[in-house]
Amino acid sequence: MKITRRSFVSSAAGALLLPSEWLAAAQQQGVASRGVAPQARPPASGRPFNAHFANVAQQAGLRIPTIYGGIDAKKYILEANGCGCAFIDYDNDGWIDIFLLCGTRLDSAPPEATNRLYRNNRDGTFTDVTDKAGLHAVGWANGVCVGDYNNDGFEDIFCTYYGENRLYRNNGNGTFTDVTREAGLLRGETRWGAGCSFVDYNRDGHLDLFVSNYIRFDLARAPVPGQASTCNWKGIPVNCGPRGLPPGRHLLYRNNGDGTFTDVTKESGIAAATESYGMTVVAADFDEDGWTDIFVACDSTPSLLFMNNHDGTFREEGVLRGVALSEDGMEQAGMGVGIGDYQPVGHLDLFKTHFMGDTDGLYRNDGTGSFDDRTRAAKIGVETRYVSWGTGFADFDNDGLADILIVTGNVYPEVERVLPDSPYKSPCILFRNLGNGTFEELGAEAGPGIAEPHPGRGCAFGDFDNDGDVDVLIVNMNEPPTLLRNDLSGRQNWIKIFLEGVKSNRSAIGARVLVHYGGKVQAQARVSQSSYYSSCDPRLHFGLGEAKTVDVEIFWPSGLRETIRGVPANQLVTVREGAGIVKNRGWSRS
Amino acid sequence: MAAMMRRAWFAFFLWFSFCSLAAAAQPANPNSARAISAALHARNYSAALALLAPALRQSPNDAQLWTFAGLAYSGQGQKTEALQSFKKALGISPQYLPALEGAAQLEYQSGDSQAEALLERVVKLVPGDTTAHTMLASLAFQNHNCAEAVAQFDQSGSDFQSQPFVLRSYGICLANLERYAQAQEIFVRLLAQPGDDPRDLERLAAIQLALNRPADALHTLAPALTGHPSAVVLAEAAEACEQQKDTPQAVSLLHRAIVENPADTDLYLQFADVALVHQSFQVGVDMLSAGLKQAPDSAALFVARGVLYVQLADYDHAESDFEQADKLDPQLTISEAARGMLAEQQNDLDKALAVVRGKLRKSPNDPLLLFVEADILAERNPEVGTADFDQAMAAARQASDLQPKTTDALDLLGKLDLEADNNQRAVDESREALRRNPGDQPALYHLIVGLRRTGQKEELPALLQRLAVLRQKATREEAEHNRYKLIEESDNNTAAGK
Repeated sequence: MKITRRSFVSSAAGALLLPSEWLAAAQQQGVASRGVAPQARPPASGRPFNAHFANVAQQAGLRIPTIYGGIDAKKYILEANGCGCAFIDYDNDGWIDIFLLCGTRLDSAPPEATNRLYRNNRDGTFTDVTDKAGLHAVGWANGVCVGDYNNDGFEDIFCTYYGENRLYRNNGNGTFTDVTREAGLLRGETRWGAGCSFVDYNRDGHLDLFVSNYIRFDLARAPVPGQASTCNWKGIPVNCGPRGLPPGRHLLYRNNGDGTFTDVTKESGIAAATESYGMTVVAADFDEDGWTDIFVACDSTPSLLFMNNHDGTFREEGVLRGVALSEDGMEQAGMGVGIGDYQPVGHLDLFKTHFMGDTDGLYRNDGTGSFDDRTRAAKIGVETRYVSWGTGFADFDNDGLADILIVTGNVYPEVERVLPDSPYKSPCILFRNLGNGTFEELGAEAGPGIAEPHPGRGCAFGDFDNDGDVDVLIVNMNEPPTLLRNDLSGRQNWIKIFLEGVKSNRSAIGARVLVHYGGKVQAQARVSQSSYYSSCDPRLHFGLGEAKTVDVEIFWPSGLRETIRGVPANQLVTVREGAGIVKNRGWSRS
Repeated sequence: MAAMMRRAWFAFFLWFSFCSLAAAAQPANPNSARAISAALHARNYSAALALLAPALRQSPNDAQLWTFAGLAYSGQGQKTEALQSFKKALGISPQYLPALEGAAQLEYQSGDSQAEALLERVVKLVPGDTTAHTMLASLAFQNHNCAEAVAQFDQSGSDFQSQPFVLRSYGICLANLERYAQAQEIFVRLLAQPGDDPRDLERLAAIQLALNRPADALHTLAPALTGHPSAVVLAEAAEACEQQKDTPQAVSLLHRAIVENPADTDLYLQFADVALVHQSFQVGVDMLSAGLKQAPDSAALFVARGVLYVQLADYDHAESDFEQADKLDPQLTISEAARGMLAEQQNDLDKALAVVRGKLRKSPNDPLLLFVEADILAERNPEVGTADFDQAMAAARQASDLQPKTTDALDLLGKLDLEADNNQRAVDESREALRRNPGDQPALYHLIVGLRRTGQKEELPALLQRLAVLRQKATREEAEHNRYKLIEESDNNTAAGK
């Protein structure tokens, strides 16, 4: 009998080792990816899909590229993650406008490098009003969240940055003012602000602000490609991180009701959460107790679910409630978040996007804020090829079932020269809801706009042409944005609901809406940020299938529950808190 | 070592049998027996045999006389006749202890498989017979049955502890049973005895590495590291340095080890391990390629290189290496398991399943292949209750039963059971996995999910805390691994740099 070192030592050497451990070794790269094979694809359903997407950005006047870091190579992760965008009706004309974030370059900022506001011309085109609106800003912008923080009836904008975040107050006259300093939000230090969300966590009718931070990053001392083990992808030197870099801490600011905010991170319990690479923030009432909770998708660390204790504090329960980790308890590269009700049964489910080599995650809410990972059961696991970012539940074909769209794009432009299977530009993924708890992936059959490859990042969902469906705005790295116009055919019905808070915050952010139609009940939430670092059309869109009328239940953030019965389909209704449907505040047509 | 042990025990046992015989003597003819006994005592075996011939004619069914004959023949070196005599005695009186001991001793000496049965009969008659227990331990050691060997050694008293070769076998078996602390004590004692087996130093260092005491291992190896250390010593020192997070020194020592013994394939595998851990895949591939020049028929090297190619996404080369490994050593199931997993990773699940099932036909009880089969089937996402789902469960369960120390298969079972809403079963499986490996994160997470679903919430706070601690530990370890990356230097040496 031989006694050898390798007989005992639990090292990974040699043929004694399981291949699973060998094959899992690639997880030690900079970004968490489980390296899972995609699920087998079920046979095609053969059902027609009536939504059809075309990229109309060029003709709509969205022609300026979103500058973000190097084009052919990314030296730092700062250049790689990109930014979000917003559908915002900044001038309250009933037509959603476009706000696009932008980055810069390491060496110097090209002239195009600024965030941009485009006014909707109500004819399918947009006009760049950035300078006029006072929103010209150069820097590494990341996330945007929209909400009326001062309850003056005009949506304000908060942008996160690597550097100092910015709060823009909407002056109500087509211009904005940077009020970061006077609002008490200037930190005086460089941070990597990531996700953000306006949220009325204490139900005082004023929108507070949650900000996630990604990593503590110092450009002067950051490692470069190939310098460390977290700086390679399949043996190819790439930008480092987030693993190996110190994670960020997340912040909660309470709105003082006078235009200023107070940092309550510590006393609210937010500071007690484990450090994580925070990204997109979605705030909604997940356990249906009338108080808004906060979900933070986290990259390569457990995602966080802050449950509201009703007393100004939160407890973090992401792992306990099943939304922090993969089905095997492993961290994933949580980046974008969709919120919706895919079954539909009246509860808010979550969808989280991840890195290539991993599935995105679908989490079914049982109504108590406990989630089950339904990724495989719902056949979402058929797609693992791309890095996924912006996402959302939206009923694109108005059949009464929320579909899922995912924007993809690689973070390593260098890799595809060596590994053609890892392209830098990749298509959107559209999962159409089959109504039996499963989804079917569609490509070009959903229109050429879906199949177009781009290095995509954030996206916003909304009806920019007011034609009763859901269109999509997408940020592309160093390319003009994509504007996917949904040319929907068929005669399915729909309804859009716009909420106006009275006792609640004016934006009604945090409200949960149940729409009853055709024997179904679908939940949606009014949120300030979702997708990837982005903000969507504030008008909640419900596809209704054949149903011609709906009953609407609104759970306002103030605690008021309001029910409106027998609302006819195919219209936008504005509901004022406590007053029901507001007449003459409906659909805007050019 | 076995032959040496048998020689040592032979003389002792002869005397032992004779003493037993004297104690058990119930002669039919006391005078004759006394004379024979005196002759045997005086080692005058021919005289004893001369006295035995008439006595046996007179009393052919006297077990004692036949036993005397066995001892006399043994004394003369006539082992065949001696064994026949002892067996004759046992035919007359099967429980006759002196004859049993004599026969056992001879069978043991010749390495005959009958020895064990005879010795077991001895210890049944005399449960406290430490000599028989020691011999049974030695036999078990020779048969690579360390569990049995240690059980017997533990009943052997302290007699054998003064005999280094026996003590060594005890220490080796303790180590094999992962009773490292006890094994360490034994090798420390062996090393304190001058002029013993120089490999005890390597063994002690190996045990200390298993105990995660790299500083102790380096201390043990220090005398051997001066002058001209062997490749094994250098490799162990390298392992100790790697455990101490001193990767540059580990790489340097491994280089020296390979130069010292370039034919030792284990050294290349150890280097590949370091390269893998530090994400230096191409460097690992290069070193394994160098190893394959030395040992072109090493299936293990091909498997290891194939795995590194997987990390580099060079799937064609990986596939080729796995195939070559299988050709070189068709008994090596890991190569086909790796091929199956590679196909699985490339989403060719039909091919993956075909590869693994092809090998399973030849090795139906290979736990690794069974696990991979289960994993592939699970990847096909079968509906609960379908044949594929049931087969995935069955294969995972079989793999787990066959390899009761590992947790991969149990983790998969837990996942499948959660999927099938067999939540309590998932809880039980996760608990078992955690018993096997308290650091098993998937099992801990499955346990949390299972308990949550079954409404058993009391444990959850503690389990969540435990998961957080595990995750922090994993993060720290990952950070340590990421400190160094192996780089090729211009003179084709490899170094580790931050």
